[in-house]
Amino acid sequence: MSDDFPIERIHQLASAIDRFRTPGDPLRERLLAETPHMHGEIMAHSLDLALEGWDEPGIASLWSEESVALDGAITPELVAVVLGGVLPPSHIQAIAYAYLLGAEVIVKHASQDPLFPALFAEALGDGITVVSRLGLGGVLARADAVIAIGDDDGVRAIQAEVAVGMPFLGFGHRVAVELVGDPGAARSTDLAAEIAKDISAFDQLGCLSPREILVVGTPNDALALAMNLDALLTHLPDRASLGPAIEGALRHEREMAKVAGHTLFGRDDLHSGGWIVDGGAWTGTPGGRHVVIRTVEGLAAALEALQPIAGSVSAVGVAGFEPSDHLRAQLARLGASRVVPAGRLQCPPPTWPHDGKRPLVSLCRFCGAE
Amino acid sequence: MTTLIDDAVTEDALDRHAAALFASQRDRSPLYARYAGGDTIVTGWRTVPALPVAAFREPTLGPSADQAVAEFRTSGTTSAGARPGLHRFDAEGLARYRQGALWHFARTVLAGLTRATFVSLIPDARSSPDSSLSRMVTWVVEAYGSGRDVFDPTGESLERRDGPIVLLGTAFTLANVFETHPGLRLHPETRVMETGGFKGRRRELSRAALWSLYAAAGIAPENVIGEYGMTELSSQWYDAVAGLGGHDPEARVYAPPPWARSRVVAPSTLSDVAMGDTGLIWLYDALNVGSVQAVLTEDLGVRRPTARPGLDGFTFVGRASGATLRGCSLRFDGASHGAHA
Repeated sequence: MSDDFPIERIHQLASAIDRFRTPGDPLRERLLAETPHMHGEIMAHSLDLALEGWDEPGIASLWSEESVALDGAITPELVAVVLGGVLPPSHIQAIAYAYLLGAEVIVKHASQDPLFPALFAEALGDGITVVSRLGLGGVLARADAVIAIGDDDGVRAIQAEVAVGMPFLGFGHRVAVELVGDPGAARSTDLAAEIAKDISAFDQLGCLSPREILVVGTPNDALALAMNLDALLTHLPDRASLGPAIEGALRHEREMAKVAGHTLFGRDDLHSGGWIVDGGAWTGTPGGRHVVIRTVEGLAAALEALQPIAGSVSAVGVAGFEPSDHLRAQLARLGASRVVPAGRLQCPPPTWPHDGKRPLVSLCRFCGAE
Repeated sequence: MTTLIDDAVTEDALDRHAAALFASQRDRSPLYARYAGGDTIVTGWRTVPALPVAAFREPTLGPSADQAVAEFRTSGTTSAGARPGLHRFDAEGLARYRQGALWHFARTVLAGLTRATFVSLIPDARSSPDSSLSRMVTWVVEAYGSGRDVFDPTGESLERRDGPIVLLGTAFTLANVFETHPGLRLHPETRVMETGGFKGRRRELSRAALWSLYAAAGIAPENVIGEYGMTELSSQWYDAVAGLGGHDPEARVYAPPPWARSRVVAPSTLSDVAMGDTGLIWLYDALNVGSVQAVLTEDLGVRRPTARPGLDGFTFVGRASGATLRGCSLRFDGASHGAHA
């Protein structure tokens, strides 16, 4: 298997992805114009960030990294990809893993987003079919590997429908955080700009979007960061409503922050913002471009603050210090599969061990010969 | 104050009451004063700053423990470490709570009856002293009962009832009772007061499915009355008058008593949504004198007109996601197994 370097498939995949990076390409322009979930301007800059490493060399690196482990692998012939959420990069990643292995790919689009999978299938050409929910039952029965993206319950429900031994890649709820290890860095406008990129990409809808910023420093350091962030976020285009349930939860949490006497920042119309909390454990926010900025006494306290989301951390953006190997390992134990400079949370390369897994190998079977 | 507990209460009287009460509630509670801000001017019930219900987890709200004659707590929570909500009443506040609850119950659930025989699946106040719902149904049974009333969380006694009754329960306990007693047949004039939801404590039934169970037991849909109440308030919203309720459970509209009001507000602006739109339920309760008279709930509703011109009500949709689960049904999940019997 490792000798079968899939040059053509890598080329096809990179070309298809490139169409969503290239301004003026009809597929990209259609996505920007028609997606109901976010302003076209937000989608454009988010795609540029998220797909920057997804060129031919980048995708080839993914294959190369896994090629040794793929030696002798029995690759799947049919992969069912069950999509959730509305983020093109996560959909691209899931489809790319199956496509690179040479499998026939049947994609069930997310109920909220039939548009992007259809556009991506059009860009990719043969070998990928997009279906709605109705046809899925038969597909799961025929598939020899399954990829599912969604909320935890949804992913569990899909896994329950397939054999226990079936190669299965599930991507459920995750959340990212920022860790600012130096009070001076927290006051920097440059850092605020980087963190604003992380928050605003895809309107904070993804698992790589930070919901908390942990700052080693004082409430005044946090306030400086909040003011700098607010100055940037407030100029973003209006975001789409997340629906009354999530918007209601956001309003309630913002009002409760006020009750608790926390310092609020951002716009009262819930366009963007957050609140500053001194110490305590992670609470996060319901999203909607809102973050908690939490001051902590040091990195050990930061790790302690993350305990409520142990196992669910997707990635950590760091600033103001160089994380030690020991700290990286501790963050990995909390679930983090990427530790990157602040501002880079939304740029996962193809080689990202997505949620700590080697995606290509995870979709294959292995058979011993004795 | 007592003049408020009357059908004739005017909008102007309510506004004047709201303005006066706001000043005293802000003076009494540093928490509320901080939340409302020092420059807030209240001109009527609509402009009263509504405290989020979760603020009732702060023990500094309401009368002190020394002054309190009753303390009610919200049901359990799925949020680890979060305190339950606490609502304390002094003697005067509790008296108003009782007076208002009886007045509104008489005009909705009893509607024409002066006495009734009650079967309550909700434990009485002695068994569950920190439950405001238990306190309310105990008042009701004491005031309007026939002497043959029972508090029967398991519902076992229903098998032996042959006359008309008023059955009081949470949706959760009612569903359990009717599902475990499929042969149950009740008198055709039986009335049901149904409150709370399922709160994830068992397989949920739609309200229509629950009503099918009632129908199988001989209960007419026009005699099923939904109640919406909160530990944090002193008044109740009902979705029908017994005998006059609509047959479509999804179309039932919760309406306040004359001294209370409800709004459905957009989360982004806290202004009223258009009629028929969904938002957060905002409640004003003039009888809630000891704590705050306006609360912003974590519940979602659809704004609907009520039978009274100009008075808004709501249909209940559910809980804002991310909000902590809690409610009367959760508290009573053990009741159907006899925990409060």
